[in-house]
Amino acid sequence: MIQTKAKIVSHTQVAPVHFKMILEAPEIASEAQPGQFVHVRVHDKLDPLLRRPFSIHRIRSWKLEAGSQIEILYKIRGKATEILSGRKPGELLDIIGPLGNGFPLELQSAIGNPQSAILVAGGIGVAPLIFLAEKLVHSSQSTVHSLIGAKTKDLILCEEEFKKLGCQVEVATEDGSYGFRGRVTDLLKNLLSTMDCRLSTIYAAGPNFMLQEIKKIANMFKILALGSLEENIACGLGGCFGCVVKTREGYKRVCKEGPVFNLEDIVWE
Amino acid sequence: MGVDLSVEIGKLKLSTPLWVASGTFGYEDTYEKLTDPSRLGALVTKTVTLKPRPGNSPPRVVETPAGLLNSIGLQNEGVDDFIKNKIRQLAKFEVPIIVSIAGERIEDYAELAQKLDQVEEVEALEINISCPNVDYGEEGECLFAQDLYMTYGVVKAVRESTRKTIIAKLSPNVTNIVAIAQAAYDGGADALALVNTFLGMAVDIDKKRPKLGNIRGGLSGPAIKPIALYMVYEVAKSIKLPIIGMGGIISATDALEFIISGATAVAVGTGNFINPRVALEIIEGIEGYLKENRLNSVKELVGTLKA
Repeated sequence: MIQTKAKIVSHTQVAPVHFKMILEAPEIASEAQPGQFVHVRVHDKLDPLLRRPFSIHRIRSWKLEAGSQIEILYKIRGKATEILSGRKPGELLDIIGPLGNGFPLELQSAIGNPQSAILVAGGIGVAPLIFLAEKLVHSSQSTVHSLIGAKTKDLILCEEEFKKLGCQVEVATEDGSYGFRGRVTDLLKNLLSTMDCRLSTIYAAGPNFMLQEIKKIANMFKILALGSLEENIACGLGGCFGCVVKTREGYKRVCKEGPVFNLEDIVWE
Repeated sequence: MGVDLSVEIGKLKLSTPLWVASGTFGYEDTYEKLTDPSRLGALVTKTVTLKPRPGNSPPRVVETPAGLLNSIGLQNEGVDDFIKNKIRQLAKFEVPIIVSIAGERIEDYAELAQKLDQVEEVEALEINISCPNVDYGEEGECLFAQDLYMTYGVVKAVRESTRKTIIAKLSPNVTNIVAIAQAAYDGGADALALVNTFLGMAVDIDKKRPKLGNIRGGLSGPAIKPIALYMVYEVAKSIKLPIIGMGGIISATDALEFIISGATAVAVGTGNFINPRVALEIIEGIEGYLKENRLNSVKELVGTLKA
């Protein structure tokens, strides 16, 4: 993990308020695991003051193993991301990473060899799951299902990327403008009822209410569910204990013990 | 010849007048990968308490313009765990270790001081009587640092429990900081740390709920710097104790303002979150300023405000 001034290689708008940024950061790219994040200082002024965490969307590598560039995919949701969206290719961005504990890559299952991974993305939660899908597709024989949900059609991201990787993709929109009408968790329930859940693992990222619902579903179908949690993060380094989430073993830091947790351990109040 | 950055705080001899404020550096190895703690004047630990504390309900941090509200609630594993498991990780940097302590009663502070007095690696105690994020039980509706007699009582109890250097960390949430500083002086403090965070809150207008789980929190960051600086100035004028100035310091200029106004040393807190290397950059900045101004020692700069 390092702090570096990473050059912005490209920066493009990919949806109404969504941007994709490629950064030259070889040390981070070569170390990063799916689910980890980078802590970004969007400018050097006092407001906003703190860094903002962004999960690593993808590693771009010229050699097979070591990557040299990282991508982040983000949504404008406040002052900091608004400022970030104005940063131009060629400029340098102060970033720290990779941080946190990502998704465990060895598929776990209740019995025997795993057969499938189910990726569940809610909204911008899709960001870390492309990196994860790439790793899973390349490292195992198992089927990778990608379930993508968003409010409307134009907010469905990365569908093509998942397809190119050979994932089984299903889409849900809340307004029914594209794919299944409903929530991505409905797609998950439908899928699980058609398969042997003991041989599968759920990998989820999205808003907390979605993760809460996935925890219930996973419990019902007796399937392991790993989720990437969101909290306000200050230092990002485990120092301040500001980003904790309540677990069965007390408060844990999202930035350090997480952001990926076994959803069964999370206690939502 | 290089400039002399060393200062003395009680029995402590610091190689530079800069340390990191309690609770902002953790015990993690993360920081040593990003910066070099051995170049700090001292390391101040996250506050330890007698018994483990789970801390407050999240959300615990909220950003405000140029500021950070926190309500961590002194989450820690307790003093015994600290002595057994944490102190060694800090000792390897070979800089003085200052342990921040907090209790719910005067007796807690005395017991903590007695325990830590026995630990060789500990060079000084910072008495945290000013954390805004804990309830102080029956002995007070307020922070100890908001009451003259409690401030005196806690400092005196610690003084009687250890021969190590003791630093009283005071709260800015008071009507007369000089009077409280005097009480800490009378209790036997070797130095004063000024200031802890300012009580504050933030509201989510859509949910009509406080943004912090604990409703209120402590405000830190550049937003509080002018107020903290003024308190250091006022106390330095009338109390003859070394002061460690803190509150929103994120640059060498900020640090120099505190030193010129009367602080012998300064601490960086929230600034570490923005840039883990900021403390080292500030040390370099102070050094550069001294050279430019043809000063041999940072001690010559303390309290040189022309007012």
